[in-house]
Amino acid sequence: MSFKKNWKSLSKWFLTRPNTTGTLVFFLFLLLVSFLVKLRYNSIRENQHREVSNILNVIQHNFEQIFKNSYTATLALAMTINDEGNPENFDKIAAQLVENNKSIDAVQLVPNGIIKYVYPYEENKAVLNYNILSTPKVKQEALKSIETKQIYFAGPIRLKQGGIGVIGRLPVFKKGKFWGFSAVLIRLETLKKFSGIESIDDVKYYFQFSKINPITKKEDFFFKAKEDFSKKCFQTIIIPEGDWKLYLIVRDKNALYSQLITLSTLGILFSLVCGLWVASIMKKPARLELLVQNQEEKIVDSEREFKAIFDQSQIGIARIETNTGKFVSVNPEFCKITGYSEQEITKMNFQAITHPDDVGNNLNAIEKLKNGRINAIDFKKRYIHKSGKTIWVNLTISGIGKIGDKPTNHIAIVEDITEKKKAEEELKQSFELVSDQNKRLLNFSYIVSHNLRSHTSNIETISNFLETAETKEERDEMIDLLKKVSHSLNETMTNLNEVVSIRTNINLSIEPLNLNQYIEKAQLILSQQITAKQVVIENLVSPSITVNYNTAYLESILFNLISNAIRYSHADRVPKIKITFDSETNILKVQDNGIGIDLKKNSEKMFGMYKTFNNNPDSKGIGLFLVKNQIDAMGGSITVESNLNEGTTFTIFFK
Amino acid sequence: MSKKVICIIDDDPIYQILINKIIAKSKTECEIMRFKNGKEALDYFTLDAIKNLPEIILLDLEMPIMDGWDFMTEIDKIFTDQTDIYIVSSSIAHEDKEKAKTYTKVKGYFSKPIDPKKIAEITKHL
Repeated sequence: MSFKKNWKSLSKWFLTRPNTTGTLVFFLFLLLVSFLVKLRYNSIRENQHREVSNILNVIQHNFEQIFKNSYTATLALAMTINDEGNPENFDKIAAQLVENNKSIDAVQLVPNGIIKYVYPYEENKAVLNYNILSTPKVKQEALKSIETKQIYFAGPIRLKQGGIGVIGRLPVFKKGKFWGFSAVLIRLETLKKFSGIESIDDVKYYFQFSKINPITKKEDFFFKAKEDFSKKCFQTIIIPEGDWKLYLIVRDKNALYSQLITLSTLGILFSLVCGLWVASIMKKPARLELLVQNQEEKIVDSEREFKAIFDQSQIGIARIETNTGKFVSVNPEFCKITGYSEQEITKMNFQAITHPDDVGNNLNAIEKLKNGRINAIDFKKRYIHKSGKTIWVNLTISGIGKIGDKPTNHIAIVEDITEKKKAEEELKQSFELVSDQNKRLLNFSYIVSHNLRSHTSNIETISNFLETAETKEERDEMIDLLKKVSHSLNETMTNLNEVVSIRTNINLSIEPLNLNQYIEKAQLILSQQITAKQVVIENLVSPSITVNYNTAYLESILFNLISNAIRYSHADRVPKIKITFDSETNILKVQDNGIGIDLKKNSEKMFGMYKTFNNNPDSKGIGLFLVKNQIDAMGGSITVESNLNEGTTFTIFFK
Repeated sequence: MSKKVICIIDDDPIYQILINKIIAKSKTECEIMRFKNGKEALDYFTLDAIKNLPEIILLDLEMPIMDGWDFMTEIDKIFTDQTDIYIVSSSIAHEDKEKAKTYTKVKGYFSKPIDPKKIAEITKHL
């Protein structure tokens, strides 16, 4: 696992660093190339070494051949020496030897160290009678061949006859006594030619030829010295027959390197190309990787941002599982609104905290959202706060996901509108109060204007007639009318004054009053009419019932309702009045079996001033108007139900 | 030719007396009918419509039992074009004047106290 993880992080490390990876690849290839170059170098070196060895072997072989020939020639020459110590047929044999051995330039016989016989004669006559044993320069080498009793090559030396050459001397002994030397002369050029030194690849190699100088004991080099080769690559062979040292020198060591340099350069170039190629190939994934990283950062950022909005929002947000209604997550504001902690609420569903009357509505909304046709729905509903109080909220539910998909989760945006709702309710109530008061005020002002005007217009007309009256009778008649008008105006003013006093009386004294007793009292006042019409009154109000009311108003209300019921009794039957009180609802009912009122036509005018609905001479249209005003002033209400010829029921609600 | 008929519908007895006097003073030869409210007048006209149709009705608006508006709604079904209705009301409310215009039979609207000259004017053509 850890390896896998390490590998993943390692590969990611490389993937995000194309340049580094490219460089690494470059060095890897460079290592490989170096290794190959090294191998190649070794193989070249080995080949060279083998070649040099081969060449030297061939040269050595050639030298041996030359020496063998020289030995044979000297030996054959020595054979010409007769017993007396004089050579026989020297010229003939020497000529044959020199002819047959191209590697030999000349032959000599040197009795007692003095050169006496040479062939070819012309080229070599200069050395005749040269005593080599008395010449210090050559004596040592000559002595060496006597000492070893074998052929020994002296030189190379500068020859008396011109040029440079080597001389192979074979000591000849006759009857156990040193006779002299039989010698061959090989010029350096000839030696070069026959040893194969000249025929080697001149470009690659060259030879050097050296000998320790027997006198100076220093190494003398005999080929034209080109340079100091001690630092160059070379191999040597020792040729004991002349104490020579032959060097085969590799002409140009750099040739080897130049080969390797080409190889190395190509290798480096190849590595470089590979490195760049890898880097460029990897840059693409690296860019993608970078992009992915950026996107990841953006996502993290936006998530952080969203989280901040979610947590800091002044609006409740909840995520709900669509099918179960379960809360998946909620923000702090939602907790604040509902009073539950996050732990508590995530164990509940929305049905649990929704007002029972609103659950159905809520489920319907979610059902609509479920099929995905609409994406959001907005409505008002009530929650039950943890403390039990009702909270009004504005709820917006929307599905998470695209429109058309069937969402599995929903987001609920919740705004607490309890205060707003309360204010709205209060506003509505005060509006109703104001409009009701306004209506009453309008009605009152209308009444005032109408009732007063009808009198004043009459007065005006009468006064006009008075002015133009021609007879006393006419004038008296007008004054009589004027009195009547004055009387009814006074009456109107009294009524209006009473209404005004009800309306302006704010601080009415209110005391607990026994309802039953007050009904009895009203009956007592009306006893004359009751007896006259033989009215049956059923007072079903329990004697224990008390109501908090103003005394005068209660008297007025009961008196007016009962007297109305008596006044509008039906002529065909015994008038019956039933009075009941429901202590649960605080409702008093006064029910009669009288003539009734057509409420379709008159419901609006029922409690208006000076509204009368029949021809009863006692009707003034003021009683119900006052009753209504008094009940209103006490904060109650009055309604009426009636059917023509069947009866009327007044329902009074006590506050 | 029979006498022209003017019908007065008003619940105010003093006004009834006064209007009678005004008509009398205008020296118009006519018969006067008097009703205390719309209901009484309507009942009368319904009884024998053709015979007793008045040429002019002076109609009050505020009356018990049946007011002027209800009366006009009902009477529309009975009366023909020959009857002109004049509203005589103590109301000076603008709404009432506007509302009156919506009734085709209403030929004029007078606020109390009524000017005798206006009575003379409308009765002159009779």
